[in-house]
Amino acid sequence: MATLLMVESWVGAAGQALPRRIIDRNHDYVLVTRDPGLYPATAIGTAHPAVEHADEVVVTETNDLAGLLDTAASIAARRPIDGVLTTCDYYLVAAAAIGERLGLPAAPVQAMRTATRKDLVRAALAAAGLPNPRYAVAQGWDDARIAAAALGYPLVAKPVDLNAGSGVRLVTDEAALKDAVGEIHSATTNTRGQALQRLVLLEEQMTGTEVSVETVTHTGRTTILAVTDKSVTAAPAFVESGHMVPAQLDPSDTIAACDLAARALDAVGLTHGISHVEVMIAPDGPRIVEINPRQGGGHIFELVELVTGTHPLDVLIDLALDIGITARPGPRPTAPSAAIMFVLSPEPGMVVAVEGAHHLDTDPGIIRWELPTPATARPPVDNDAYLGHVIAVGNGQRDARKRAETALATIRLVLADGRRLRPLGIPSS
Amino acid sequence: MELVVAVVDNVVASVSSAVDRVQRDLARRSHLRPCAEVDALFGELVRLVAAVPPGSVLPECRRHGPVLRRLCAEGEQQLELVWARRIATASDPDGCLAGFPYLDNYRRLARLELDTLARVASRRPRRVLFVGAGPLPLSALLMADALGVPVDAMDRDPAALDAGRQVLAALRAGRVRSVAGDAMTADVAGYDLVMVAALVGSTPGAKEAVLQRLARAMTPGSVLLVRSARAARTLLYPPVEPAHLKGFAVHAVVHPVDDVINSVVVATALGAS
Repeated sequence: MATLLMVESWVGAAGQALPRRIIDRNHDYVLVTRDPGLYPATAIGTAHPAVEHADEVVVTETNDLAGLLDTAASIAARRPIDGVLTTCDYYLVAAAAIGERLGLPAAPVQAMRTATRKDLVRAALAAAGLPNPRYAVAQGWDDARIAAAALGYPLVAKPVDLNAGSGVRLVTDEAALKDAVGEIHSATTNTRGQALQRLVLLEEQMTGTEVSVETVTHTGRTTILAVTDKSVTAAPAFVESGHMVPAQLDPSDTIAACDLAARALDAVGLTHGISHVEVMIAPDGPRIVEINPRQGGGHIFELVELVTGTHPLDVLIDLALDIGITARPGPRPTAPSAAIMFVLSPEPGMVVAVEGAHHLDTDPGIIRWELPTPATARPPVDNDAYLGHVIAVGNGQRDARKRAETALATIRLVLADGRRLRPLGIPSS
Repeated sequence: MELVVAVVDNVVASVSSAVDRVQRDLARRSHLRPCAEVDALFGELVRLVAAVPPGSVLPECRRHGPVLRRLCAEGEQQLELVWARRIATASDPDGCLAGFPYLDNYRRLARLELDTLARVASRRPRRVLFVGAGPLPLSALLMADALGVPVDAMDRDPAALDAGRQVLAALRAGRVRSVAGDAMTADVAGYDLVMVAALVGSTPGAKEAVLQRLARAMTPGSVLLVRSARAARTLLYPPVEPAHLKGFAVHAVVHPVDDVINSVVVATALGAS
């Protein structure tokens, strides 16, 4: 039994899963947070797992790194602390710094500073001779306009230090660029109250097939856990409609994507931790879309566990205790493939019922579905439009997605005005 | 891909023959009260069915299901009665409960149910009914603790009810109340969450009758959580079929792939139509 220091947490799926996995493995943890109120009770009144399962909650200003390091040291002085971790992107640097201060297993602080800044990652990749899209970093509007003109449209504009696609825009002309830059400049803090750089990263738009590579790096060696693909709804929405493990790719593309992901982590100096590396398989070879030095979102860690028997958050716990992936007992996979499909309505409205939901139970490969009603269907432009999801496992490496889609194709969303709609993006493109 | 299918088939074949053997051994016994042999046989059965991949169906389910489920229900009842007595008479009831071999399974199932409810239910329940609480009403207890609301633990079997009442008293479970009642007749209109144990309605016909009665008697908009089973796991517990849920809007179905055996179905009552 070990005691971990948890530096804040995401509120959503990963933040709920990690505390349970820690206590299920007979460890405990001290939650260090600036405000326990960040972790609200659920709709049915049960406590948030991050708070519920903490052996101790220490309240301190986690956005003040020097103060946080002193607090961590004082905790470690009165009770043994064996490791430090977080699921929350915005505290990865803090966790690394605590690791350094307390002599615990962690990524080098400087590497984590680089890995959590999209502009610094591009520079590190370039310095290592790895392929990048053409890109530029702009501070003000004039910079951005000149850089964009040199790069040529269409471009992707991103804030350098937000996560999960926040503020990422495809810009096709100068007017759209102005909006994107204005949006990035107007955001002064992230959702956890940390000051933002307000720098704009402009990148040539990459085309191809986007996959994500889940990696485990320990003592500088990177192991590939899984490669996940994503399906998108047809034009014009192009909303992410699901994921499958393993990615449907040519084996040579899978190898190239894994190889690039490992080299990219090496280039930023990340010697320790789990990562979710997004890779575009472009016609002229793979390119890094983003490095995320933490678990994947969108239920990806559940799919990875179903197919590999290894849960990325269990690996996160192990790494915090300096246990590498090869030291783990043999994993027990559930199925050769696993997929999630998100349920989206093609049109906005109030979904009052689901017709044919019983069809979701006819295939034993459907292991879970959720589609609560009544629910507000938002325009299918981003992840906020998800009404629910279906998770399927396949008997072969390629059939999990088809099973999920076949089941979903049989249902109809019934709207308050009587419209009966087939979910969007079934089958996916 | 052929290789993978072959591996799955081998698992199914070896589980099938092992299930045959366990069933014969269980059926031959003069009693199913907990003892080393009975515990080992049920333990092996649980491990076997949990090892079958979720996408595969055991051909034995249809043939062996009714017999095995009857044996399992009897074994579970005996096990719970013995532990209920131990806990009720223990000098340290909480310490005694901690030794119950399936406590962790109960906890994990309750967590799965609470997580599923938290995602699809829109508000905190105020009054909860647990139908088929049995001699060891641990699920009712865990729900009351997690939700912080009163839970009525209902059973129609006087012996189970009496044992359950003593367990609750010994554990000082103030929020949980034992109530005598049958799902076919009880007044359930005052509850905004009704949970139904896996062993309530041991045949498909009985299961349908219970759920259809609840569909008529529950207050429209109140939440039903019913435990079910899928594929190989139906050798242990009867499945809830989609047809049993007429009169409900189903919001979530979860079929665990780990050693939690029961599936969980969450729905809301639509009201008589």
